[in-house]
Amino acid sequence: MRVWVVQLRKGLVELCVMAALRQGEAYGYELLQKLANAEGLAVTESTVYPVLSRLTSEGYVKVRAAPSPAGPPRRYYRLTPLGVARLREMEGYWEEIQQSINALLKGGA
Amino acid sequence: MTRSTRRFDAEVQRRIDAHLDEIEKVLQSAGMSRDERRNVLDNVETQVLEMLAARVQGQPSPEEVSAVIAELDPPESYAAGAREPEAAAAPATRMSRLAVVGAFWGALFFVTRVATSGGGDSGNPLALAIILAGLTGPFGMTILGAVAISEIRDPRNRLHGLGLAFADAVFYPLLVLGAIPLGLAMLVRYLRYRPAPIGEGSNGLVVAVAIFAAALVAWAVLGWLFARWAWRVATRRSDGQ
Repeated sequence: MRVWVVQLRKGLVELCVMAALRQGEAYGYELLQKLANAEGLAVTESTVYPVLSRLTSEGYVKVRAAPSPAGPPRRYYRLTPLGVARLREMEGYWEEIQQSINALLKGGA
Repeated sequence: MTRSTRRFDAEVQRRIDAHLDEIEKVLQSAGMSRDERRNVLDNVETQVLEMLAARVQGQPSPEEVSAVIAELDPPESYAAGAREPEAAAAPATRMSRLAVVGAFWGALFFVTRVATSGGGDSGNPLALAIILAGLTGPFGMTILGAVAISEIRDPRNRLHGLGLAFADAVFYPLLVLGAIPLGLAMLVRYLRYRPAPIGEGSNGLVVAVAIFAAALVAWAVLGWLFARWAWRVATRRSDGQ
């Protein structure tokens, strides 16, 4: 895969993880499947799980364990109020740079 | 490394554990904390077991486990994901100075109130300046808090301290809000018990305590509603959504 594609996607994973969690709590593998289905994003577990782990330790995401039929308890993640606030900030920034980049790509200022 | 509750053959379990151990080594080398490593490994283990459960009824064979593991990212690929936060944190974010100054300014109000409660040398220009700064503390703290919130919310500033800025902005407004129910309670008590002050009537003290308790509850409810509204405003997206 081209390096610039990898770099671009890397920076978007945190935003995507938090946006996916806004729809409701999810356990790691479930979240991974959700994100993996997003066309073009193609994230894998080695990217998503460290991000989830970091968001948890930074207080943006809260985790609870619940029994699973497959084996160990599933770790369900959900956004904390701080995480919701962070996601709003990120969304605002994303929309801002998106507009700027679109303008540049279309030849505007 | 495993915390699996499902019983597997020793070889099956060994292969899962070996994969988890390799990932842990990579994460440890990348400087990830123990708690974060645990979090990642729990997720990987859950994923392995769910993938196995989806394709194998009963005991999986060692080959089936290896096949599942082969579909996963290799352990070394976790290094990039683990290093990412450090790289992201490199352009060090700092605490909002406005939020910190606002907190000190607000606290100065109480300090000067205590310091001047017993009288003092009000002719000293320095003391006068400090008293003046203290008296304006509630306004300064609230205004600086509000400004700090908008400063922190701009990601280009790379600032943190939203909680402190929010506390700065709402602390004194919450106190003022409390004055409404408490003032009403005092008025009610005064009008109702003017002929028989507290302690002189048969149940005057009990009723007065009940009135003030109701006022405190009203303050708590109003305060909570106000703080919730203010937090939503403070964290609302710029486009109003």
